[in-house]
Amino acid sequence: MLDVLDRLTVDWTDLDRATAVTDALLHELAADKDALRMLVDRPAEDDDLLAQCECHRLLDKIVLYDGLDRGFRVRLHISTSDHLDRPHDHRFSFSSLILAGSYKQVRHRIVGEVPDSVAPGIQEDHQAVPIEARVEPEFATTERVGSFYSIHHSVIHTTIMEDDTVSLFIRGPAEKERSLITDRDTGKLWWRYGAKGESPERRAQKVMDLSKFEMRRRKLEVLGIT
Amino acid sequence: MRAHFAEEIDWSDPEQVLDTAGASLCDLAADSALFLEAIDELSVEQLEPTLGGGGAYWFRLAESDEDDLSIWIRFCPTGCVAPPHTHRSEILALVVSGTFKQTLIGLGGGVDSPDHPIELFVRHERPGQVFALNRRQKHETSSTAGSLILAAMPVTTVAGLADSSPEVIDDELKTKAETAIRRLQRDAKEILGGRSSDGRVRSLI
Repeated sequence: MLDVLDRLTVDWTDLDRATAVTDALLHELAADKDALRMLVDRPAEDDDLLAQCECHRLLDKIVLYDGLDRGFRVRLHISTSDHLDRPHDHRFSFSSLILAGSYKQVRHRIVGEVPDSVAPGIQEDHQAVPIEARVEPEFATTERVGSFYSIHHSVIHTTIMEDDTVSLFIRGPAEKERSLITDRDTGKLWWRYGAKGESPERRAQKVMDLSKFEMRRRKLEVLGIT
Repeated sequence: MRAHFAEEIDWSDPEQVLDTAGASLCDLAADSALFLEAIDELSVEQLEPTLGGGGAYWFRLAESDEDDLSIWIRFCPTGCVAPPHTHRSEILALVVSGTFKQTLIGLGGGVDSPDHPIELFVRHERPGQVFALNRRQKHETSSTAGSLILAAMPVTTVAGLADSSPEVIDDELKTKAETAIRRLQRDAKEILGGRSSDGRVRSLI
């Protein structure tokens, strides 16, 4: 599998073509448990990969392979027990294949203008500021084991997951400096940046050290993923 | 039908549609005897099927004015490709068999969104996937030959679903529709099994 990944290039300028490539790759990887286990073991031996793994409030991200110079990075996502309705976009386009659990996914349209004037330092939910724009659902589905989709970075969507939902995830390169996130209950907005744009406090909160990584690795075994 | 759809559906919000009726639609599809009987009773004369853009046939199985609910099946006897279109009503759909690729098209709304409609989502729907969309959501779809979708819509839906001027089946297309029905009836028995029901569908349509 590493040979395949080492040769792969993904062009996200054509979402349809990127989908064809990532569909084949993610399904092949999901069907090859030995390969998946080998990739999940890598961050324990590779400090660069471990440094890219992150703990978030709604999910944990384990980086399996970094080929971002060729247009992709492969991750496993494991949802936590926090489930909040937070419409957001991403800095990159991506594809996802659900391996365990399920979740509701809603695609929203924005009604009104998202103000560009919200300060870059607003990066935490407790700092969020109210905005007049709101979201309206246009498409909703229930993702379950085997569901697969690709999504453009500009899409505003919500995913409300069951505990321990696991997704095999492949992202493209960042296409913008920041993305937005809102809370549907409060109507407030804050920003999300890549690692280089985040405050030291924010970075510190997300760190997945080796002991946290090992807990996630064991959880994947218990869930039957590896 | 009431037994399956106990809650009132707010068709204005696809998320609410999914929440209140998604499981019910799955239950209905799982009631293979009822589903098979409905398909067995299909006829061109009775149901005025429509031929949607791309070659999919839509058959109305049942409806209830009181519940503002109609139940349809969408069948593609051959592979179907429907160019970008919206629908005349909100739809809740369940892929029963075959595969169904859909690309959602529109304005993303997030940071640095292009100012023109683009491909937002590319989805490879497989049997068991259930989704709801509203009338604004444009999508492009392609279905494999023999693919079958069970759908629910408001009862106010008129025959013909897509904004690409679906074709009401006239005499010229009647033969094709009858062939599609025979194919559907044959395929459905393979997909859903051969059990028979107790004539419940007759009273619903």
